[in-house]
Amino acid sequence: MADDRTFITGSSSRRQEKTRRRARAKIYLKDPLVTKETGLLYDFVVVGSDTSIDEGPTSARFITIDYDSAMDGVAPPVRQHLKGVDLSRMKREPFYEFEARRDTPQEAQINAWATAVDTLDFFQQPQVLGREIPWAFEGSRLRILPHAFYEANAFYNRQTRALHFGYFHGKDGRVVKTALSHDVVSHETSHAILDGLRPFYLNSVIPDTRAFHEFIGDLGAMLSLFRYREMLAHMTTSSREDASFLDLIADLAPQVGEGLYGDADRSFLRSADNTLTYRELRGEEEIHRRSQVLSGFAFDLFKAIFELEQKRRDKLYGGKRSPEVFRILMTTARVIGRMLLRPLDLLPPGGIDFREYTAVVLHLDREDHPDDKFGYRGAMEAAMRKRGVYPSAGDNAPAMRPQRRMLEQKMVERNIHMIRSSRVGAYRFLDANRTLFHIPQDRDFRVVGVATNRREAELGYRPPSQTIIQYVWDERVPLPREFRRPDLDSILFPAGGTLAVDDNVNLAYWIRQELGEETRKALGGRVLKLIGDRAVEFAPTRGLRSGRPFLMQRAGTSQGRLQLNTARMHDGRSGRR
Amino acid sequence: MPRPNVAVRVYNVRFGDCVLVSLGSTGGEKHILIDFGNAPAMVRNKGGKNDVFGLIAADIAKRTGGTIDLLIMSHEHLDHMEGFFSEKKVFDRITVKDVWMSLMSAPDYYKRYPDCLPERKARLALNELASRWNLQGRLSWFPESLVSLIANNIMSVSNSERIEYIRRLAESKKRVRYLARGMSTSKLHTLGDDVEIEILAPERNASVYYGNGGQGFWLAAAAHFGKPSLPGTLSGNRRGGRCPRHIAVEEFEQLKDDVAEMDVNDLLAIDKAANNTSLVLRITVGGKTLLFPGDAEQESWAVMKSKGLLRAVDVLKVAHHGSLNGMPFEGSDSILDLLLKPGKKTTAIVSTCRDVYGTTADTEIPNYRLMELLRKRCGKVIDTEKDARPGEYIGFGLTI
Repeated sequence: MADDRTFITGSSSRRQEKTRRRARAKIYLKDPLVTKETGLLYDFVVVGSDTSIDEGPTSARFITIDYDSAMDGVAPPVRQHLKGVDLSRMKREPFYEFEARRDTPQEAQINAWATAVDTLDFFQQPQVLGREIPWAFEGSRLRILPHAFYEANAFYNRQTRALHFGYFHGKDGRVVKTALSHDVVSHETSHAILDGLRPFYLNSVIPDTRAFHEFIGDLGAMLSLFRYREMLAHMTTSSREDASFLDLIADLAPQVGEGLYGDADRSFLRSADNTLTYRELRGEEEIHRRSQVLSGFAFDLFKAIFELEQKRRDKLYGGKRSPEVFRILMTTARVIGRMLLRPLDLLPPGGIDFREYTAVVLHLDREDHPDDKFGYRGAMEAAMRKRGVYPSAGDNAPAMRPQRRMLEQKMVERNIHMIRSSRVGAYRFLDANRTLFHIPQDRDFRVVGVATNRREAELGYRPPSQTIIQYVWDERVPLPREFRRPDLDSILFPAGGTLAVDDNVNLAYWIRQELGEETRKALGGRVLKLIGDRAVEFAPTRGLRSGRPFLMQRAGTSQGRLQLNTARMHDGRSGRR
Repeated sequence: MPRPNVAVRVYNVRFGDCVLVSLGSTGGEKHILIDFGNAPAMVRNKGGKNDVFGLIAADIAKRTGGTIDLLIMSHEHLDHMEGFFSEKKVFDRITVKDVWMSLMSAPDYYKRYPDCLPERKARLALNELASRWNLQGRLSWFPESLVSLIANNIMSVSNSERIEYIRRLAESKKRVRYLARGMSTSKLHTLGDDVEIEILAPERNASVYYGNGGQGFWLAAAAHFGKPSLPGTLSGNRRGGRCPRHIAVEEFEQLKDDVAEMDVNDLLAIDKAANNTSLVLRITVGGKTLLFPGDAEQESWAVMKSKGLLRAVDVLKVAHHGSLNGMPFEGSDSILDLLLKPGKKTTAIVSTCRDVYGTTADTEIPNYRLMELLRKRCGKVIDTEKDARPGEYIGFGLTI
């Protein structure tokens, strides 16, 4: 009898429905420059085990629209070819192939789509978040514009619901397409993913929060490389010849970098192999540079865990060098993904600074792996200290286990079906427990997201699924008298929290984000600095150039919500991304 | 005949320019009128309110005795020309001997300089887009400053009768001159042999200002609005912007509109391109020099600087109402050292109106750092908003 149950697990690899469609596509595992240099890394990958696959390429969560606003032209969408039926999971799944000649628009369509699909799948896999990630916009398909404009730039835009990839003439006069770069596509897709998970981060006035967006973009680009067996095989081979084989991970977008700067200067756009510290970047407003502290920390951690794993394996070989580099790389990538990306679901909703992030990372690692059997946490703490991002005592930290147990005993309306049913159901639960969760009685708070995960830990162990709830309310921070204007006398900031409960509504996690006096002071100071620096546009100037980076949107008659002008996340005209 | 004085009247037009320069003694005076207009009506802080035009036109008529020897329209922006059209009744009765415009305002300019055609096409296409948005009611979603930028830029192409009217003011068609750098003007005016007027800008081919990648600039900027037939940058089959079959037409059209709206950034580039067509005049009379640069922006100043055209002047009308992108005044691009006389001997004119456009350090007009610098280094800084009431003028004289 046919099994008609719909069972979403959050992992494409474990989907069981017979209606799923799969496709394979040939993509650049890094970018055309690396492919040219290595002669490798241009390979078929299987992507899009999905409920629909169609021309474009189009799948359930993505649609490729090859509209070029510079030329006002549309390239015909690539069509899928039915290659047969996939029986590998004992189900008759249609198996398609997308194919295009090199240097055609269709090649970029396929490359951007397949890389984006794969990046989303990477974040959704059970070892990372273990759940479907929603988009931040009203819509289900993220649009991919592989030749969106003529500019050395690419960006995610919530309003257009799209990833816009530019193309430009490199220093050698050849056209460079950002849509052909794995790192650029993964980076931008990661922006969209983080925006879906934490919608308030994109517009935050806190530089760390915006830099965090960039960090997740870079980390997503680095770690998603390890999904490609060909890439792992290449790195395994290179590791025997050259100690710098990890450059392939750390150096982002080589071809775009070469196109912009010329290969004589440097052949990457950004590198995680740096020595920047948090202290050095105090006052740095350029978010890409700021993000490199965390990217550097992640890369340090990667190298440290790789070495730990290598030593561990060496022991198994009686002190000789273990040849299992392939496996070591896979393990390292999995551990980094678990340590640094899994916490994304549990971050506070309104914004984050680097130390708040590392506090959550450490908290989860301590709870999940209290014994630190392999010494990973030690390596992580050392990497955090080296970069100056080790959490300090005063930083906002998640509630510890005894506090959670105490709260559990007092919680009412502990009905998991109600909580999971909808945002309103989750709201009811929180509303009934306002006092416990420090939600002011006079605030009309709202639930930003409810999601249930189904994760997989080490050795295939499946921890109990958790339902994660984010909630926020507006806190008003009045402006000092001299800064007030007739149309503005206070700024609204989101306050709230994130919590996770298991199937029995035990409190597995809780982090508060409240605007205490100190935070208010800090945020107020930050806003006043922005106003003092004349970085705040009081009149809404939606759509204007990023040279005027901030805008004020009126929210009511006398309040303003301070927002970033995200019309262009990256300003390519100044050569930065 | 020695000239006893040079009288300058700077009118407060709100956000715009209007300067009357009178040369010679009373009775035998010659008059040069440079620009007359203000911003589109929808801008903030009444920057575009036209109630000033009547008062100013009447004063110009009275002061000039009904004869303007030279009328100059620096460039095709409303804030430099709207007043003439608005006060037709007054100007119809005034005799204008000569009209000077920028070469880019010549009717056949784009035929002679096809390199500049994309900018023109872009403005026309922007006009179409703005009209469509207007019909859909979407224009009202945009902030006033943005709408005003659109209006300021497209009115001149969509309403050619304004420019045509200024052309008609000249005594004859032949007395309308379209000028660019290097053109001799000695025989083009009736101000007298002792008045020298040099044209420092624009260059004949305005595409030199598009700079920063040349064609790439237009691919990135103008083409968002227009469809210039530029050499293809991408190979492959690429048809017009018709909806591909795998997306609903409505969704596709919405996406195109959203992209265009997002790329309204490039409107600023179009605005800049038009500003850089400004006629930049240096008038020398009796050893005194006066510089009127219209709204010339960085690119135009850079060309003038590179060609060694700049030197210290007695009167400097600050370009582009004192904006950050008007006159480069900081860093290595600064031109103030070249233009200001030592010992605070220069008088600066800033024809401006605050809180009309941006409010940030980058967008506010006039820029406060520029104003501070001028106050430090100039003997006198005329700030039309502060020194004269709307519709009135502040005057000063130069003794020769």
